[in-house]
Amino acid sequence: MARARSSGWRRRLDVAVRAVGAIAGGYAVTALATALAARHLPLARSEAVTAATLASFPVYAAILMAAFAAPRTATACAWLGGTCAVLGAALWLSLRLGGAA
Amino acid sequence: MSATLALLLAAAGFSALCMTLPRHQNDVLRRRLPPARTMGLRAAGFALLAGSYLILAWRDGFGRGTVTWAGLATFTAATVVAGLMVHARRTTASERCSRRR
Amino acid sequence: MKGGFRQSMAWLHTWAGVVVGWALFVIFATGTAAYFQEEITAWMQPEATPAASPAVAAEQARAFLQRVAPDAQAWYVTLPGKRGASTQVFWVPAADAPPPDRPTTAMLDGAGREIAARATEGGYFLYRFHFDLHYLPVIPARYLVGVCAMAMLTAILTGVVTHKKIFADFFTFRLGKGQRSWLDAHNVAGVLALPFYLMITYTGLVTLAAQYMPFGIAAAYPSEAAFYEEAYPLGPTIAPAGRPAPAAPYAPMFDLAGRRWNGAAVGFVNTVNPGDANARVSLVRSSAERMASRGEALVFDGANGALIAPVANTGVAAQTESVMIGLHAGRYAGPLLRWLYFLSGLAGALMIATGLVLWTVKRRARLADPARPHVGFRLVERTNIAAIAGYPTGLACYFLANRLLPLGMADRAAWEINCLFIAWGAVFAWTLGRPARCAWVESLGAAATAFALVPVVNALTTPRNLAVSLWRGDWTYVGFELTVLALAAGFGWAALRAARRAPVAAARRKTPAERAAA
Repeated sequence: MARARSSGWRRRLDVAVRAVGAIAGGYAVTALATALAARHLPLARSEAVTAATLASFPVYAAILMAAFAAPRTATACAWLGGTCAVLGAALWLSLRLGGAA
Repeated sequence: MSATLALLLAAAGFSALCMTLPRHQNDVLRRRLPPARTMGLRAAGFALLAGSYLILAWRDGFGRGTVTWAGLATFTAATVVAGLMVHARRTTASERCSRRR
Repeated sequence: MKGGFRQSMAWLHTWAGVVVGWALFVIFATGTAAYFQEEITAWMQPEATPAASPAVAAEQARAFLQRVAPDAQAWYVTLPGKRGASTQVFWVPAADAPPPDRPTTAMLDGAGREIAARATEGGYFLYRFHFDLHYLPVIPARYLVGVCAMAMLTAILTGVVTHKKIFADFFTFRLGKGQRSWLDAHNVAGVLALPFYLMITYTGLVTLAAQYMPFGIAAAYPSEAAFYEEAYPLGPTIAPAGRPAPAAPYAPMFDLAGRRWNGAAVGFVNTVNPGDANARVSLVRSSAERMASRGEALVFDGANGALIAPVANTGVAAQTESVMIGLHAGRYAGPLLRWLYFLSGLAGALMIATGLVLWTVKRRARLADPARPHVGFRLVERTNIAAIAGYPTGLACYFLANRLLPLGMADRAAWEINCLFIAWGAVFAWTLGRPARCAWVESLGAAATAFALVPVVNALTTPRNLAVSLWRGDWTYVGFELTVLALAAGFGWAALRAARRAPVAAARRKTPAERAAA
């Protein structure tokens, strides 16, 4: 990573934003994906829940790595925010149509 | 008994694999081995490791056998590393002695 | 991030590791010790004697519970196994009973008498600390541990991505080369036990998945209880009939269980509504026999001994989760595998320790004036020492306190634990006033001395010293004391090396000839 000492505080801010985005945003994406998978995986209900929960940890790890690998912080945050929005909408639809839990 | 045999096979396997790496060929054998010899050693090394695994799978079943083999592999690979360190220390010590003469 | 994929993964690896490294070291160290928690507890209660056969132990437990808690709602009995010598009983008092005048748990010896052993939490404290920490409420502590585990998983995956020459450097460990040696040590410790680290971190998260990732259950079920009812049905809960009935003998139930489970042992005996016409006795299969951790149970009518239809969840996902938890806890492991788990855990602690030291070594090289670092760096260095040398010193003092604290002392078990933290804190406080290298030498030396003292103090305060244990073939005691001595030797070696190490010359770049030869 380029070490631009002259813009020290700007770089720190960039890193902080990316870290918060990756950790919190990544967790949100994982949570939404787990909820959707638990409701829609073609398995018995308790099996779907267990399978979705088991898979959630490597998924979160992958999201964290991808968020830090993205070349620009803005891109990473945009992807995370967008995915949250899409998954959130899908979950809302699922709850409306499929009945609340 | 079978666990000891598995341990010895794994130790032999890792020693063979160690000797396929250029750095350790230089350190231990003082020369580079011809490629055919290296490939032969590599095949032998993996075969010995596979043999070690099969013994443990036969002894404990595939589930426990795999877990036991992974632990045994860690331990035997570590002893090979320790052996290399002891060898390196003995070689530098004798080199120092011969240089002083 | 700028600089390419590998560089950004290296950055993530460093920071994920550094931020949680100290906590992770202690979590790893206590988890490793917990693989021998029953042996540690046995060493910490030298008054306890081994027990009889499982059915007899269950009858003795029932007789004890009948005397002490005849009106309880439920009795829970953990039978002695190959590793634990005593029977543990626990009961839930009746809903309308007055507050109990004694703890609702007891430990029984081979004759069914309550053991008058010294109060201690033994190895169980180390097991609980591993995920509950101490002096903290349980739920926040588990979240903290979960954050550390998730950071560790990230660190492992990014470490693998970053390590360019993972095969070429598989066996490479060059001593005496300063920063390069620390990197070699970190790489070797990291790669050789890599399958173990991946397994242990992932399965560790899975053991508390309901707390860390509750959204699956929340999205699909109205309540967590509803999920557990569907996934792990216990059969209908049965209310007491109000009519007393004599209890059916255990021996035929144990026989049936043995036949059904091909000789596998019973681990727990749970009785609901004891002494009532609607009593139910569950025999739960011992987790010492199979990887899957949720033991099968057979339920019997408590009054006439008849078998009631068993229920079990055999879904693939549920079985997978059960195996994962079993793999993490390692309760199924026999002696060889248990030692391999322990050695892999030690390798993990070494990996974390070398990683922390490597970070300070690298940072020191980049400091404006390496001889006079700023206060942030000094604090990080002292905290490294506190984690890597201070915690083990504390652990040794926990064992020493077990032998030295007065037997009749109030809150004895809690004070043994306090001694661990007092010693740990003392090491940290001491290092704050010392130059870095002296601090390392002295605290590593303290750890070595404290561990070495454990068998000595044991010999002076109990009749079960190492010579006697060897003579009697008491391998639990022998194993514990030899391991402690090995740890003392390890810390002593580290202290000597730290004392001998000359100030490191900056690693010079390889000449083209050297680069060609490698």
